[in-house]
Amino acid sequence: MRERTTIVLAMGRELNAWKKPFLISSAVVLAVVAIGMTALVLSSGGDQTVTYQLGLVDDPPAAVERDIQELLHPDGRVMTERFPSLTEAEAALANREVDALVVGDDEVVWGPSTSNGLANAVWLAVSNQQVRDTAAGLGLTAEEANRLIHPEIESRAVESPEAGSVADEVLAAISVILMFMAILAYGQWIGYAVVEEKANRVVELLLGAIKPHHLMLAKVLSIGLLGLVQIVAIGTLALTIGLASDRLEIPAASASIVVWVIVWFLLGYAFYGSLYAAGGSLASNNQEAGSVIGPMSILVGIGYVLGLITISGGVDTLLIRVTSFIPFWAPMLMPGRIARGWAENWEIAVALGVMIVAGLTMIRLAGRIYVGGVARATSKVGWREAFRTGTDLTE
Amino acid sequence: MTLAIIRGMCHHEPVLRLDGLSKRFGDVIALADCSLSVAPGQMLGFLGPNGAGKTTAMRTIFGLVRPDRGRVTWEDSELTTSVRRRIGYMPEERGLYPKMRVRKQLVYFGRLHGLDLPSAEQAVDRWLEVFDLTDRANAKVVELSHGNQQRVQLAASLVHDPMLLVLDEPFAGLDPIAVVTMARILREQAERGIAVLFSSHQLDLVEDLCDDVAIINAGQVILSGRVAQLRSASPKRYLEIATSGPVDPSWIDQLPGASLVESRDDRIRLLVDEDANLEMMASAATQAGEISSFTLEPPRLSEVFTSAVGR
Ligand SMILES: Nc1ncnc2c1ncn2[C@@H]1O[C@H](COP(=O)(O)OP(=O)(O)OP(=O)(O)O)[C@@H](O)[C@H]1O
Ligand SMILES: [Mg+2]
Repeated sequence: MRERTTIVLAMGRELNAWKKPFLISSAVVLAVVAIGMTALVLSSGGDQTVTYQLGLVDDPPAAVERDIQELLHPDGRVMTERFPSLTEAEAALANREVDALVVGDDEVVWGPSTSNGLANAVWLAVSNQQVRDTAAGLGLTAEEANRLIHPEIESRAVESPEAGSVADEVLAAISVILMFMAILAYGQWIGYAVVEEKANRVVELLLGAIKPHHLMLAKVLSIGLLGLVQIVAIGTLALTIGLASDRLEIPAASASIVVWVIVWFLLGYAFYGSLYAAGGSLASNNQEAGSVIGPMSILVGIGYVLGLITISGGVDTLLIRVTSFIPFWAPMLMPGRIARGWAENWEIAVALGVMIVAGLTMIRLAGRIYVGGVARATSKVGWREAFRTGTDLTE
Repeated sequence: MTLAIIRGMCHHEPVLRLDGLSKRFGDVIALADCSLSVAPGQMLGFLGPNGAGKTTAMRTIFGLVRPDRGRVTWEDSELTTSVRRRIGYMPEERGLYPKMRVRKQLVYFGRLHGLDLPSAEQAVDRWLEVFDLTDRANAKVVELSHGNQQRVQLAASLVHDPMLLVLDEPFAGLDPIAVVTMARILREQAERGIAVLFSSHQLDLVEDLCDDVAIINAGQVILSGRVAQLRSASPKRYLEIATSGPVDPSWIDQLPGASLVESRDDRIRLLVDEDANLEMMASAATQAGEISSFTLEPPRLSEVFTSAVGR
């Protein structure tokens, strides 16, 4: 009971000390996310439909124009322009003022700016009209005529497993970048929080009142709490902007990806956070801290680079598959692979299991190193030396 | 007179014991079978030359150094964190959060050591008053002068009303007025029945302040006990002669069995042999000048210290 009060007290002090940097960094990150998402929404939903100019000569039936509009939807639409004579119309076609001509109900003229899509739609629309006319001549009803035009064909598409949608790709990219930044930032905060207490020697006073591994726990928990709040805020903001606009196609999986990102952040943070705490406890001042913490940040950075390959490469390579099981990089790679729909359920389950075991082991190991390192004020302590002199958390 | 003061003056069983501590750092032997103990109400001065092992011994109490051999006990059992919370510690290298405000920081330390919020705030306000820091209560520690930081540091060791104070060179860096305040506070604490262990290089101050000392050299306590007993146990005797005018020190050279230790304008200190003839000396002194006092006394603490550490 008393121990818990002590941990809560130490957490309270830690949260207070990080209040300012947390608020500032949150404001910056949230602003960046808001701007980025808005830009994404504006650019992706924007005017992707192509508008064609269609020249009409000799009053083609209205049904032709309607059919063309229908056939082009949703990727394109036509604006029509009527010409009094074929000569004027062909001149406009040659000048690319219009993209194709429909003359009466049985003639089409292509020009230099006619695209395949437009040609298909125009051809089909005119041909439909002739089918309707012929059907009427044969005494068929309008409905029967329509059956001729729109035969009942069931159509579906099989997607290549490796080519996800753009939204999936964006989501995967965001998750990799977010994981990298969060683990790096909050891990380093822990490292420096530990070093700071050692450097200004206040740790000697603290250790008379709080067990060293409780002090470490308080640090990891409080800074992790800040990280969690920030990630949840970012996820909520991004989803809200995405959902608020109907122009961006938010895949249904988005919400579950946000949950995965949070889960993997917690696991990755527990792993790296305790590693950074252990590293910080070996240094006695900020200069030394750099040399201990630097290499750990490189490890995180490797995950980031691998993660970026995952996204831009667009291929679930063997390298990515294998490294996404290794605890050092799983937190940065797995959410990305899940977002792109590459990770099989069993892969997710195994990676989670490995990560949980690795996290628990790291907490134990780092706790011992921290205990061995934190009270040694005079000089830099080696990893092995700290491990040898430290005690297990259970002691 | 309160009961606490009576208790303070009685001799109690020691509560804190350092028992046969040994510690080496690589080739350096920091502690070599070091033992000492402190009792409630006792103010123990912990003396020793630089590098003797004082700080190392004090750090073992808080688990900051793990001895290779020996143990530290509180009432005969191993120290636990809950016992350590009832100790007040002033580390040699002062340690506070530089950017945290004084009052907030002291309340934090009070609570960490087991006080609830209202009692911590009450205690902090009282100690800020005692240390004349009330108007700096909301300053950041880093904004304070060195001496004021030191007062905050001492306050941090006192807020939770500890049973034992472990102070590593509490007087270093204080101005003479602060030294007097600090000495008064320590004495008050001891009189309340609190055990006080402090290290210092200011031997005259220790002589005034403490009844008991422990002298450590090369990691081992070589001498400990009551200051008065240590002084009188020494076979050496000093003759302190005060004169009312300038004295020509040349007469001393002719005195048998005495050697000059120190001579100032109106004061001469001599180390005399055990079988020296005091009457002869007195009459020789009278011839050299007008004498206002003539005292035979045991060595000062600083002289006991110097001969004990053999330097
Ligand atoms: N962490 C350490 N690593 C290596 N050597 C150490 C360490 N701590 C203390 N020592 C060595 O142990 C010896 C005792 O040091 P300690 O600080 O206890 O002396 P001290 O009596 O407090 O001296 P001072 O009066 O100068 O404060 C010294 O030789 C010191 O160099
Ligand atoms: Mg010392």
